[in-house]
Amino acid sequence: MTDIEADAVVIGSGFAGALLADRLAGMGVRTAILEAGPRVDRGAAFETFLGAVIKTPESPYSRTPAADFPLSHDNDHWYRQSGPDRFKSTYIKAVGGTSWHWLGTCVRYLPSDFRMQSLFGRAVDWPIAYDDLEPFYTEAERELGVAGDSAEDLGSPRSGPFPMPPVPPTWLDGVYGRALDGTPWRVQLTPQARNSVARDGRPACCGSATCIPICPVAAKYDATVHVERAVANGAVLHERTTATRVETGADGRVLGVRFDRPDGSSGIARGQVYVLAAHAVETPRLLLHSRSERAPTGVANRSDQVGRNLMDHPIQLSWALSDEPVWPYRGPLSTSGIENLRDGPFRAQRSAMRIQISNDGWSWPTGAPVTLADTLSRRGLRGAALRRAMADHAARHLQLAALTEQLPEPENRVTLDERDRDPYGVPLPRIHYRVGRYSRTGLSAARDVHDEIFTRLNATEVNHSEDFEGAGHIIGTTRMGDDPLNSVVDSDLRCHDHPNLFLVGAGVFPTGSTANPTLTVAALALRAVGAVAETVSLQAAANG
Amino acid sequence: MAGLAAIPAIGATGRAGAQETLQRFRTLSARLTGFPAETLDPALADGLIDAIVAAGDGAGLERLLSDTASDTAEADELARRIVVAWYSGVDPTAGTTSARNYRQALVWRALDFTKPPGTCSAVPGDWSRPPSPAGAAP
Repeated sequence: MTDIEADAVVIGSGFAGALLADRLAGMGVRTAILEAGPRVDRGAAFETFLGAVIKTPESPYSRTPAADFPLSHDNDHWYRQSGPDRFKSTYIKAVGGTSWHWLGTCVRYLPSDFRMQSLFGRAVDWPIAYDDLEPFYTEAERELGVAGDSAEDLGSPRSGPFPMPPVPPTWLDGVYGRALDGTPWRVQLTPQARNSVARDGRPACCGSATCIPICPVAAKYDATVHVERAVANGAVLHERTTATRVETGADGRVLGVRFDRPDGSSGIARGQVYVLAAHAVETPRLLLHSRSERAPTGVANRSDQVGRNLMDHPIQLSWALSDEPVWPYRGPLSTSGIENLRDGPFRAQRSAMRIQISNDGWSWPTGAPVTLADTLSRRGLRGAALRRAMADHAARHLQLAALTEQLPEPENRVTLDERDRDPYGVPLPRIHYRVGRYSRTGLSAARDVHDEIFTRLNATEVNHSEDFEGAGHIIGTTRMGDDPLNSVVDSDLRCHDHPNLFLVGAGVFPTGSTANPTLTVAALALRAVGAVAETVSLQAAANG
Repeated sequence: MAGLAAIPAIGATGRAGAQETLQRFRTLSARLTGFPAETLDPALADGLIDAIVAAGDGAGLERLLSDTASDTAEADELARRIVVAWYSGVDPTAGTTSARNYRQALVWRALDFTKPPGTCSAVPGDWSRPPSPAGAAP
């Protein structure tokens, strides 16, 4: 046995876990971070990506039987899917978590996103309001290092400026802006956790254009920034250490977290307080697997809500050929978006949308430009004609991705597949997932908007993906609420059932909004710091 | 350069013969891709010949090289595979690539307004402007 002793035990080292661990360690709380995956060597991972034939978000990162994860190009790897739709979003296991391959977009939720029931008669309200979270949004923007235009109204009022000036928009953004001037669609700069100037010992973005799956120069924020700070502040990082069971006592307190390692060692991590930050599939998987006589339906699951309300931002992907060169395949993968379709009375009937203007041409839908020679050579082009056509065609690649809101539905859920287990005996995640009419109608509306936008750009060869795409945004499964009967955590992210157990990450979102979730994940984690630290002190005093 | 010697029809034994075959392959590739032969990476060329021979298409390649290929769909498809391999950096038979092949792929030279992913822009923020013609590849 190689037990771990600390005041705070944090499971997972992604956005939420790393931020929280850094804050706790900075306050003098003895903090242990357990991470199932290994440390990532940025340079080696980047080379692995370049050498990979299938260039997916996961392609740079190593998988092992002990720390396996789902794959974008094979939705049946790791996930056990029972339909009716495929769940297409993925995550990795590594020190720094899935922040390694995020895009970097840092939009806030809108005030109305917290009040879907009150305003639109849909789903539920959050137990907190935008104003409760606003100071933490500002703090999160400072922590992550968000570049943005503070004067730009994105619908989410700000109490402070962005810590960095905006990342320069691409030429392509300007083409959209000019074409859509005077239309209902407003092109705005996207706030992003990407250095526009050197900051925090990391360089400014130099346009590597590989934000997904990996930034080779670390200009894009990832959670290793806060893992390193946490460790510098005294936290102890345990990599390749997988939490496999949460043990609870008769009084409802968590007593310890069992862990296993690929070398065969195992033990118990004990602390005053426990924080699960393992993202919205692995956190419910661990809770459900931890069922016992005291917790027959799983830990933190008296409400039967653990694993339920799984959401994503189902994406309508569309691409077309501009009549003039727009020079894509340059700069960060997205620098502007259309933010003014994210709200309106129509949300009573169908989902809102956030349109991402993509700088990476047809990469996502077709694998261009690497696959373009295959396409054009099939049209008989060879030699100098092919070479000219390659440049001419690729320079005109347009692509839009509309993120839609998916409502929480109890039947969309993560459960355990008892037939298939990982090497530690923990059942693999079984997923039941359906994209309902609310999102489907929103996806259809997005196709119409994309058509109209492409028309304004005099584009041809307009294509729409036939089915939704995954946004990589895994949301829900441990929802926050005031009522212990229908939610898992309270507004401090403390489990209703266990006073010393906190859950952080996008799993706690009661509804999904159309905003990329990371900044809200970070803001909520920062907001929870006070309650977690206070619980450590109280518990220590009681024990002392 | 095992691939060269492995084309019996070419009869290229010895270093000089292999070099000659390589040159003929680069000349053919130049015609197919639109890039000057002397700018086509010899190591990539050699790997490609290997892959084609390994796939059992050595005889077809010999016909393309000696310009005796008849105008058949089969010959055209082999030529097309050579084009795609040069542009994508992906071995057409094994379906494999490498970091080196990916960087060397002709697509990045054809798209003279950009660069291989993972390399810094000449001037950070230059993506806000149309590409400069000075940056165009030869």
